[in-house]
Amino acid sequence: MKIKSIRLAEFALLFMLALTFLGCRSGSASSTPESAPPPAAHSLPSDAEVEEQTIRFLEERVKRDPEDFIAHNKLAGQYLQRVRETGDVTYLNLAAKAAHASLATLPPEQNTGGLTALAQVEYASHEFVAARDHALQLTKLEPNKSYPYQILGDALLELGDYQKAEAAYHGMEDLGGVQELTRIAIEQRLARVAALHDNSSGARVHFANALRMAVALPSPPRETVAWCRWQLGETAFAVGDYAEAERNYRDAMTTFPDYFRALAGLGRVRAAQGDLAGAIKQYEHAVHIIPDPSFVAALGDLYKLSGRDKDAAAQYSLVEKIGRLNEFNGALYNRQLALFYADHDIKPEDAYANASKEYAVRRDIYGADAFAWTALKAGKISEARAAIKEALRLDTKDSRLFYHAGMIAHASGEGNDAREYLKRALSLNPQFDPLQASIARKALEQ
Amino acid sequence: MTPIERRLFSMSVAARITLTAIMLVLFWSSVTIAHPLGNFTLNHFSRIEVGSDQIRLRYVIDMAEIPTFQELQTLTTYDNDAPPSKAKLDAFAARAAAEYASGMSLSVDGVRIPIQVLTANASLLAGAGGLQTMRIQCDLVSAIPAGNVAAVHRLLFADNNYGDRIGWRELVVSPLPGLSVFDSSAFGSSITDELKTYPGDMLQAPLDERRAELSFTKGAIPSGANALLTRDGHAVSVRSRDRLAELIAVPDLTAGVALLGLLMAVLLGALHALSPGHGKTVVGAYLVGSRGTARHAAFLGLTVTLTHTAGVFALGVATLLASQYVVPERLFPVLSLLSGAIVVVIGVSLLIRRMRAPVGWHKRRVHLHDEHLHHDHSHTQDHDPTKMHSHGGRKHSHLPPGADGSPVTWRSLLALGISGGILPCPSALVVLLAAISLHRVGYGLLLVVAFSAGLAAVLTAVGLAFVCARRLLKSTGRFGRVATVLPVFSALMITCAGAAICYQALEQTGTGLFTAGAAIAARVISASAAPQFASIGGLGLLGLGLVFGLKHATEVDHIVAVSAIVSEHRRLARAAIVGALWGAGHTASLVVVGTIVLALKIAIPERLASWLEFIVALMIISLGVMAFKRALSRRSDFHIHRHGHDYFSHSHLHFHEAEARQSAAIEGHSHEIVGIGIKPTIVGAVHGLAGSAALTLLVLTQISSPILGLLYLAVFGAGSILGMLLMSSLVGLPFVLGARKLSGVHYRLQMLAGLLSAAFGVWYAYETGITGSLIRTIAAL
Repeated sequence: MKIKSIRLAEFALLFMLALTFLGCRSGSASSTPESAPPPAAHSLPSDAEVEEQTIRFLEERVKRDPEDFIAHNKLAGQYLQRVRETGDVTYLNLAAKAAHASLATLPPEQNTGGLTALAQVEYASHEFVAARDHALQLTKLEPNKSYPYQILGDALLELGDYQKAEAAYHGMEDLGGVQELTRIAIEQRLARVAALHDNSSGARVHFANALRMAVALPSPPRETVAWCRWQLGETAFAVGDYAEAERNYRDAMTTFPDYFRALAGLGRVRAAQGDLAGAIKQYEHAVHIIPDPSFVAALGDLYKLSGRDKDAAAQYSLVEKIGRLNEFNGALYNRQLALFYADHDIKPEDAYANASKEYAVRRDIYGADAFAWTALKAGKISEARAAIKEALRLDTKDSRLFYHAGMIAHASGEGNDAREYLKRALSLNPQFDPLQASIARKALEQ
Repeated sequence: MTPIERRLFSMSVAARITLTAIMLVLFWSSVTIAHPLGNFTLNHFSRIEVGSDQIRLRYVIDMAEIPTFQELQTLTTYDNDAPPSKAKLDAFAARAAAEYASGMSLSVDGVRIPIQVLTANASLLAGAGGLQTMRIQCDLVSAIPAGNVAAVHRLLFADNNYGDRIGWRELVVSPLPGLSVFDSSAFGSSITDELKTYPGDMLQAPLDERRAELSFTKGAIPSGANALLTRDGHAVSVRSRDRLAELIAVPDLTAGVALLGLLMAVLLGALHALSPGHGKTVVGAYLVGSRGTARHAAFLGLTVTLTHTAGVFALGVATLLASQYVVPERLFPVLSLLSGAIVVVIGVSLLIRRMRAPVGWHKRRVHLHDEHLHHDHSHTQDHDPTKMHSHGGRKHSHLPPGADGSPVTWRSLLALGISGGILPCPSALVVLLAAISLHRVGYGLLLVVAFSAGLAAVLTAVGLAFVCARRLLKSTGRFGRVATVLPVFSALMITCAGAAICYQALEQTGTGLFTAGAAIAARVISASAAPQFASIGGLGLLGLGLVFGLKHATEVDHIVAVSAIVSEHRRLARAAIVGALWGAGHTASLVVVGTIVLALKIAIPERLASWLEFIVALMIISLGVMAFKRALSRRSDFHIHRHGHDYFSHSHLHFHEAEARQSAAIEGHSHEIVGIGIKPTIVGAVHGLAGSAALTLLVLTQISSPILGLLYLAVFGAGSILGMLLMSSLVGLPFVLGARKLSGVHYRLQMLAGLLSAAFGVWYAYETGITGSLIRTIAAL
């Protein structure tokens, strides 16, 4: 009963906040009233040296005693943190090795830490089915802890099983809503769910809560704070609030200099604001740190828009090279590559094959969207239509989804629906993508 | 073709096909291995070579597939997939090196010094997905300011290139010869061998070493400073200058310079020979032990020269032709081992030969003291046993063979010479290889010959010195007793020297004998501590029993008891027999008790077992005391033996065995031992009773069939007999040696052994009596 009343109170609070937001947002798009402004950003001390020492210490331990499964579990956790901070896939491989070594020493029934590490590694490697199954096993082994439900919910979310995911998040709340870190994690998950369900203001509130709690910790974890700020930026960008987005991205970089996600976000905002040169600079910096294919593709688009065709071609060819490596590197960049090919009308058949392979397993709305878009470019209109309907089933407010829906409707000959979707896309976030937005505008004029 | 041949041929065909298939698979899979650290990484390696007036830097950048592709796009147009030309690559490398140099900072004693690029080289290697990886290698140099005359310098290095890119960053410090580095934040060894191999199977997050701080000075490190360590934790030692290698690299080669160089080489060879190694000990020991002459010494020297030169040539040619497979550093330990093995073999064979014919030990030689045979010489003067004489039979001398004027065998001399020269000096090898690369082959060969000649000269001199010393000693007349000891002692020295060489060679290869032995011993101990009989088959069980029996023999109380008995014997064979008899008694009692236990399916009560242990302790005490008393009483047993007739005295250096029976009969006597007695058997039997409790209980509970259990006990017993035989031989060795040569030592050893045994027995009695519940039992009665 107590739990139910807490949930009710939370819902009521959210509802009131939502009302307040709606009332305030009836004004200009650039005004950004918030119930409580996020705390001012300042740079946080880097834990890099301590982390480095911890990792070396644990590595020495496992070298001396290969059966120290606890050290392996800790090591896997440290490596995963490194992945979050740097995006370096090397650490993902190391984390996988550590998790497997831990479970080789002691089976999951007695080694829930090892199973947790394995599930997290699988999640980070985009092996969501395995992550979900292991998380399920974990919930049975540790029925009174909240973190199994966190991993389970995340995996289910990525697989497109939204109801079960929400149930898992509720279970997480029920079991562990007391500790600070768990509360932060809960807020982040609720924010993501809200964003999916056409509730961007709710998402913003949750992210702001998470941020506030993270900053209030005795020693705020740098990457978590930066990530929350970045997410706030993303949420703002999605609804076309570019100034707010820029502010949040800058704050993220103040917290964590050269945070690669924030760099790319800043580049996107710059491009949306029309500052091509500034955007190129940001993206070049981001690509310099880690050549993620979506960054490289965006840089290529910007070069194209600036008239630097040779540089654009170089970047596109780089994306293709990453694609060639993709078979060896696993499925990390599968979706981005499929979208890249479809956006630029390159290799439509390959893109379609890739997207459909992924969609067979991972049936979330963005998977459906990728499938629909590549199907359209490959000429399979009916499949595209079915898929885009799936993609829109949660009423998510995402310009790209609307744009794809509009183009598919256009190709199916449904002119009115097409115009409707394209208008929605452009009104929500006029510059959602440097190249694609102009294509959308052109299509609308026809 | 016979059926067998046909089968072999067909098998080999199948094997060949399989082999080809495997090779194809391996080749194919090797082609598609991605950059081991991930395709986005950019990896750095810096080696700081600290010299006295300049710092050299070896800087390597290893780019994975994607960064390589990004860089290559600046070199060629993107759609021209042809690889860039060599000229373009070189130009790129030069540009990159200049950029890298400006991105590094190097300062000595707080003053920043500029870095110049010496060479730069870029190469493309195949990577994953049809892409390439790039390796940029540059050598940079930086001069230490001349005005800086401080003894100790502090160096700071920072690598700021590509600061925000992910990748491996490794920093290594290596001091040049003559300098030492200490208090360093960086390590002295590389994990990746200049980014050529990355650690694959172990968990190792990419290194992130961007800065280094170190102190360096000429000569040795100051006390209290922390030496430079390798990544395994070993200290990096100061390298000495290789002056021989510097000889070959003189700028101009005129006649005068060449002659001077040869002279220097001879001197260097002589100096090198004076340093440890090259068998000076062995040569000296051999020549002093056998009746070597100056000619022998010279021959030895010649052999060493030739072998050494030949060795250097062979190794040099091998290194040149097969540089991929033959790494000289790997061969040196093997050659060392070989040389040590030869020396050990020589030493052991000498030892055996010289021990077999000790003074006064005539095997079954009953000699008659007929009057007429002894009229030939006068007996009033002191009789030198080393001279040739006869007791009525063959002429003999009481010296070991080979030492009685017969020539030292040239074969053993040759073997010694080979063993001394077989290990080529690394500097000589370097000289040869450098000579070939500098196109000064003739000069290089001459240098090597001169070096070997210098080496041999010193060796010959050492040998001559020993020969002269021996002659000197002999002429003073005090040589008599020493002469008999020296050969055996020298053979022992040779064996020990050979063993030391072998041990060092093994250590160089990385196999620490002690650690390996300790590891094996630990495994055996842990296996024997928790035997799981149920899981192994019958044959395995018996094998296990043999091993356990062997191990059982090494228990302390057994050895102590046996040593107390062995200490009385002077022959190795006797000592071994003592051990064997002990083992027999032990096995007998074990089998008897085991039969009873297994047949009646009863277990020996613990109380009884403790009592038996206590009795064993008392037995050990008594054995020790007896040995001590005997040693005390027999101290003066070294005597001039009167053969029961009074009109001549005839001295032999020998002792009587404990139970020797001497007959005063005129017809003859023998110095032979009659028997050892059944003392060891009884001791062993008592030990068997004491230990049988635990063992039979174990067997009873774990082995189901009684026949198998009995068989196990028998095999265990056989193992213990064998083990005890070996152990007692080992234990008896010092007594045997001491007995033979030096009179007083043997008795002192025996007294010591007796004392120790008694002491051990007391402690053992205390352990089993007091701390066990025996006293309580007695009190309770």
